Amino acid sequence: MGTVVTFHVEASHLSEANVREAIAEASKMMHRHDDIFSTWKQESPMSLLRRGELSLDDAPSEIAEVLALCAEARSLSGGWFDASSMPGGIDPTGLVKGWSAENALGLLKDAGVTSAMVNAGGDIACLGSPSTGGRWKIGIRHPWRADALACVLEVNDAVATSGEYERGRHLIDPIGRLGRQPAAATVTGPSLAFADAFATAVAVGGDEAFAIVASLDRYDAYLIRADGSEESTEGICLVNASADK
Amino acid sequence: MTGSTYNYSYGQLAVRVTVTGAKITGLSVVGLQTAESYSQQIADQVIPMLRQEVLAAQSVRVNGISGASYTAEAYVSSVQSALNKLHFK
Repeated sequence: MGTVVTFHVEASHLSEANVREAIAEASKMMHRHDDIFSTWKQESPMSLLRRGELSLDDAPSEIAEVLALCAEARSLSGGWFDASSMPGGIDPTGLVKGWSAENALGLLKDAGVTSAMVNAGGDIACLGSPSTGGRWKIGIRHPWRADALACVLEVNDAVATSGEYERGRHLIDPIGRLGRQPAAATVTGPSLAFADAFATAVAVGGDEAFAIVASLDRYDAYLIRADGSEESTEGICLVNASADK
Repeated sequence: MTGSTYNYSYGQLAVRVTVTGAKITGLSVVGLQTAESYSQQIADQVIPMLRQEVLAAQSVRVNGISGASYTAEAYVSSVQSALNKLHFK
């Protein structure tokens, strides 16, 4: 997945050695996901599938699972997230990082961890509460203001941000529509896999995709448009950063 | 205290953190290797702004940062590892 993952465990019923073991297992799982899904690795099952050298039936079962989620995310997002319209064949990259982090957190939870955060390159899955109490406070990087976070959100389960800053253009509009891109989109919700996909959808589809995500049960969106204007849905919980100091 | 060197997709970097009392007072990148010139350009732009963010946030006001990727994560990870070595909370 070409990124750095941070495991942050704050509380558990486990000994430190067992926490370390649980993190090692979760890390191993994410490496396995990377080996399966990487479109950069020419010999990954996903790459083989894209080239027609491997059938879905013969591929690791995770691929069918993720492609089913991609189809669901496409439908829920009104087509603004579409893994099947990528150049070079079907590409679940916009969902798989969130899906993998969500599964890694699930593994920690199953092992007895009660408070933790898995941050996969800015896609964050949360469990329980931080030791400081309340909900997890997640800073959203501003797409172009050099010295500031755009805002701080309180998050229960999952948050993902998508945009074209920092790495240049890498998002594909599945409908092929021309026009200015919104700068950055953040989505919160119960599933990080879907939050990841929907953040991509809103980053590509702007206000239209924003309205679709806003209508989805338990998902919320925060959009910073290219002109600097911002919009957020009702469930986005902004922390007043200056009051927090 | 210098944090661990972190690999990201297009290179690797390490960050030195200076702590005075209970405050982070200085940050510098002590090891940066990029795979290609485009990555170097991005790193040149991004690292100063990450430095400002960490100094402004003093690492405690947020539990995590969303929207960070690539260079940003390597930077934050290295800062965190330096702080961990100092047991800075």
